[in-house]
Amino acid sequence: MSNVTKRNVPSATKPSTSAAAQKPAKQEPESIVHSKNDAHDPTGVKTILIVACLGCIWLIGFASRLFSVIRYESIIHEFDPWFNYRATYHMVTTSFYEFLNWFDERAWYPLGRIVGGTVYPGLMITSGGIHWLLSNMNITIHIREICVFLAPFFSGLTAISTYLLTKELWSQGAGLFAAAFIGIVPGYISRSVAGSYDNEGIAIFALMFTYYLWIKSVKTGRVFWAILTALSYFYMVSAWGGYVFIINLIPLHVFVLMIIGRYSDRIYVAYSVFYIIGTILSMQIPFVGFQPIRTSEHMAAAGTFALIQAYAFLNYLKSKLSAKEFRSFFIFAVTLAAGVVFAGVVALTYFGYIAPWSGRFYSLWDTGYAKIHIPIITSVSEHQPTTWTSFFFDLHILACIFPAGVWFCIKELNDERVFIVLYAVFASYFAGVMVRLILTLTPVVCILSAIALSNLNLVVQIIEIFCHEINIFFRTLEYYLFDENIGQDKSVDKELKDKSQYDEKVPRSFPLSKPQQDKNLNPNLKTFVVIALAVLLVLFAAHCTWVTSNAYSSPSIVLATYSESGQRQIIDDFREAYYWLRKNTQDDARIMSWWDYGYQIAGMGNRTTLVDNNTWNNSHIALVGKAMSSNESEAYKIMRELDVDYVLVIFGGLIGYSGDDINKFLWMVRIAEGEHPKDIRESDYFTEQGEFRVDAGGSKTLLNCLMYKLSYYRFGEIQVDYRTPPGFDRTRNVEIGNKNFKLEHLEEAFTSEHWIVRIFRVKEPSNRTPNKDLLRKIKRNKSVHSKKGKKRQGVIKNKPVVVKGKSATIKK
Amino acid sequence: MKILSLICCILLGTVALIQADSNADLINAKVDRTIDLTSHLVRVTSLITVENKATSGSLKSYTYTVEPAHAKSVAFVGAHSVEGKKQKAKLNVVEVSKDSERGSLYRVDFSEELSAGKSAQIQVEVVLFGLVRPYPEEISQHEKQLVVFKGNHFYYSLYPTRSQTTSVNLASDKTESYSQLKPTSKSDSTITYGPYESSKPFEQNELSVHFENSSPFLTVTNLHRIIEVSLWGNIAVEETIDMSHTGAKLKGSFSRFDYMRRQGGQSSVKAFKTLLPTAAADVYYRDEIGNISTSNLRVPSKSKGEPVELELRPRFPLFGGWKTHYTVGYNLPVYQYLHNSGSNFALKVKLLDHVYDDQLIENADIKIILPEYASNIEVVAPYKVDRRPDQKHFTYLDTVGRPVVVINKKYAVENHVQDIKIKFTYNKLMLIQKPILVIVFFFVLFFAAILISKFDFSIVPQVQEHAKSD
Repeated sequence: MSNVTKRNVPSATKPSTSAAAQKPAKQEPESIVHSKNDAHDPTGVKTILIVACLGCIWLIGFASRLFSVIRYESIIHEFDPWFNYRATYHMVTTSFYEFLNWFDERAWYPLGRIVGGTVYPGLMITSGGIHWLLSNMNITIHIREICVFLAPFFSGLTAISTYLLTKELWSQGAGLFAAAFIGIVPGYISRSVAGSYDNEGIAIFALMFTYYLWIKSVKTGRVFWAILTALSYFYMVSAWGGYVFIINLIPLHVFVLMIIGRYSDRIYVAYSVFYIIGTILSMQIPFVGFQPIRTSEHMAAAGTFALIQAYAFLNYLKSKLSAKEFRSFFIFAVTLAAGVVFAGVVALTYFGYIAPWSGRFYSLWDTGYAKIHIPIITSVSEHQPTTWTSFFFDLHILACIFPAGVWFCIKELNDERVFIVLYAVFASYFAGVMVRLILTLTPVVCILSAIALSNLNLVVQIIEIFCHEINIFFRTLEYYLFDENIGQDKSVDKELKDKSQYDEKVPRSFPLSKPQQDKNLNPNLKTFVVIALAVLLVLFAAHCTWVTSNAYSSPSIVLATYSESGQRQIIDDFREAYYWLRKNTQDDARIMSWWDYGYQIAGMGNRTTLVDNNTWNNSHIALVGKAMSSNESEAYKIMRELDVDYVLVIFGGLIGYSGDDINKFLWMVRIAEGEHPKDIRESDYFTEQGEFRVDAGGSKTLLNCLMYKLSYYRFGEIQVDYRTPPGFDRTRNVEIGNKNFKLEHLEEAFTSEHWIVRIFRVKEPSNRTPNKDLLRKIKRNKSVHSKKGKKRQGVIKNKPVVVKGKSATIKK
Repeated sequence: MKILSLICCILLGTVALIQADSNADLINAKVDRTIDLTSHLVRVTSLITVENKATSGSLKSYTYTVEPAHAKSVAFVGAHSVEGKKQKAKLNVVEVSKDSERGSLYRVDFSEELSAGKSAQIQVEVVLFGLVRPYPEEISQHEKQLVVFKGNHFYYSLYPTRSQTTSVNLASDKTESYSQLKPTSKSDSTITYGPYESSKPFEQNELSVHFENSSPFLTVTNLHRIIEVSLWGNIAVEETIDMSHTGAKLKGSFSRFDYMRRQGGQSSVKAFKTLLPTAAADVYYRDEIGNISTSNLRVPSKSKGEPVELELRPRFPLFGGWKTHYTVGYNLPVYQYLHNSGSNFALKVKLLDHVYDDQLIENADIKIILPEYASNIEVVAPYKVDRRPDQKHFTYLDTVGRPVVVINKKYAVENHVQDIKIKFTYNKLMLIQKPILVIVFFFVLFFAAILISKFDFSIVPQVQEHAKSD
């Protein structure tokens, strides 16, 4: 803090340095007063208040996540939640062990999927457990309702654990602020609205609770808290792949504490216990298995564990050896230990015992990595780099306030505040890389903003210091302008001189005595700051509600439009088509669609899919992409190989739904090209000018590929509007280029009311290939039969009579 | 030997039966028969003038016979006595026997005994299912649905018939063919056979009509109806329905474009109406994957007592062979359906309710959940049903479980929409059992919380820790 005011400026600054010198002295007792206040509560009124506040926060957090339930219905949203729901339903209707051993033959045909070994089961176990508890209490509630309301319910628990964590870091007041922020901040709501039944919904709670317990164990150095941390970490591992964030952040915390000389036995106990128990527990999750000791993502934790053992051992030696002996030994030991650990990890990685970083992990460091090597990761919108607007959109004013919190924490540093600062730094970086990682940034932003806001005094002081600075600046200006002899610091001198060109008309008579008055807080200023911040917070709450209501509360499988008269119309095409599949196709029918819809088809249609949102097999997806981007007869070969019965495409051209398959088509081509570069080339689908067009100017390959034909089958006959020609695509606002075509190997099986979902049946191969090229075919036959002259067997109807020198004619 | 004697016994028994029910003195003086083929059900309404030719003694009953080919397709038989043109008393109908030779025999009890030489008019209504068969069995989207019906030109009866006419009402005036037995005439959508004079008992002559019928061939293959009675003021009704279109199957592709332009697909079902009780409230219509957003509810003014009309549109139009599944549920106020004197209660609700016009329910499972601690349950069904063993149902705060009356009924039609009466005894004091349960639970919970917070369970006293951390 002090270097802000400690500038080499003349005597005028003296009062302010004295103020700065006073401040740390003032703050030390202040923070103690805080913690004393926290504990001092003889009547219990404060506890009641806090419980009431947290209750209200829970209620508000829950309520503001219900927009979609009220507007639409209690329904599972989007894509991944449908799989989670399906898995939960399977677990509830069968048994837990049945779920762990579940081989899902309805996914990834013909490969299937071992679900028990490829999911984080925490989410299913949580809701299944709640269901089990309630049904044992004879409360008959459908598992779907539990799944829908799980995330809003857990948002309350997240708020409470955020409160606890902030309380440990700063004070109860800051804790309440943090809880209130996390309750309504859009960055977290985006993943936890009612119906968004996904891992993140419970994982953020687990994350915050683990951090709280970690801070608690760092503070106390007790095995009890460390074990609780490990248990909470175990829950987090079972819930979300993001547990890697914990297992890297906590070692980093320990490491940094050691480096900055804050090592203590408390940290040794906390980390050793946590690492050992946490690692063993995390290996109990089938999907994680031996990863904690075999992949690079977990090596930082192992290395830190080794390091802290070495450090503790050296500390022990230090107490036995003399200072000089110790120094030489220390340098030797540290170099050796570090060298051995590093060489060991490299060697193990080289020999394949430790897996190198996975592609998704690489893409966090090298943002261009995924684009080149794994198009499937880039094709997902939530893996795109974050824009500044989305920071503001998701965090609003908190994004601006939280650096102040970091500053406060650094200013009054202790063991646990090191942690939150590290968390803030790393989470900010990751959030910048991928949109979806704003989620991990959100809690720390809430905590730090709360810390900043709960220190209103400090905020006022900062503003005052700022005023000082301005004062000093003008004074210095004055000083340099009118007293040029005393120029000690050249750079400042120069800089100020540059500026002075524009500021010549500064009034001379500047109030000299003002800094002295500022020693005590200016009550007017304080009021002003309080009002300004209150206004900001009100705006923040309004923004949160607005964002939640408009951006994050659409189930995306039910769409709503408003007609000109303002009447709401529900577009329910997805469910219409999926339900048709469910009821009117044979039970083992195999549906080919782009992978986005795999989970929905399995969840709502209950039919076998070829590829789904668990994109583990890139070549299978590429094969589907190839089928979609080939022409019909090529695609038919692939579909016969894959035993496809139905093909499902999403088409938005009739009503102007933009998220359809034609708009996603280039990704299919790209992914197909990655695996089949000989057959599919992205450039074929562009015009010569490099445009992607579906109208008459589009490339021939595009206009004849399967996806195009299935999307626009018989669309050319339809005239939506009198002002537009028939076959006018409303999404892309063009008249389609290829209108009157017939399908040879497929037939329309079902099209939903607004044509959004179109399902085509793959025909059985016909007995005989129709003779398109009649003349040539018969010529060949003739050569077979005409050998025997007039005695030939069989009669060919409509036989062409070939006379030399004349064109072939068919006998009538 | 044993088998032979058994056959003898059966033969003798049959003969005895014939003699018993033939009432050789009875004669069908005049029969006006209407075969209604406008829907997928066949409704045969016969207005019969019965004459007792005997010189002495009065007769108690008339035997109505359904021909052997139709015996297995009977859904409902009902009878009324008729005076002039008005229907009067409802007559009791009992199934007597069913065999492959003579068909099914039903005994219709007269309201008052028919004395010698007198005649009486009765009207028998029979509803038959599965006899209007689509032919051809598969049609493409733009083709029209043709159906064929095979019956009997004559009124099939145990008794000789003096004079009879039969008129067949078709769904449309377009016929492919129809059998002729002079005199036969056709005008618009009605074919009239007869009058035929003096036909013998059990006389048969095949009647066959092949015509166009685009009416919805909807069949409820499975209906699961749950009626849950709560003495706190609510009856919750929920029906889960498996429905399929049993008309001509759709061949080839379904083109939405043609469907939008209304070319073809007349026999497909876009929507149908379900009538709910007047007091029905909080209606929902959903299936396994959520709410079905395409429905309209028309609530009439309560005072008139009109039913609540629910227009249901399945998620997709139903073509031949297509199936769907949905759930409709609603609440009813208990005071309209449950009456009591002291601790004796009587519940009077519809055993089956209207699903759609001309409904056919192949299999209905009805569960009536009574309040917990209801005992001495007695069921009075309006017609013959199959009562299964009682079950227990556990829901909110139940301890011993609620008794469930389980009833099964096969092949129900609209005529089966009738009330069932269930009597039970219930001690009203049991109403406060659940509130007390909740109060005791929370009392124990808070008391335990108080106790736990007052005692220190830690090994090391907590106070020291605070001092340290400060």
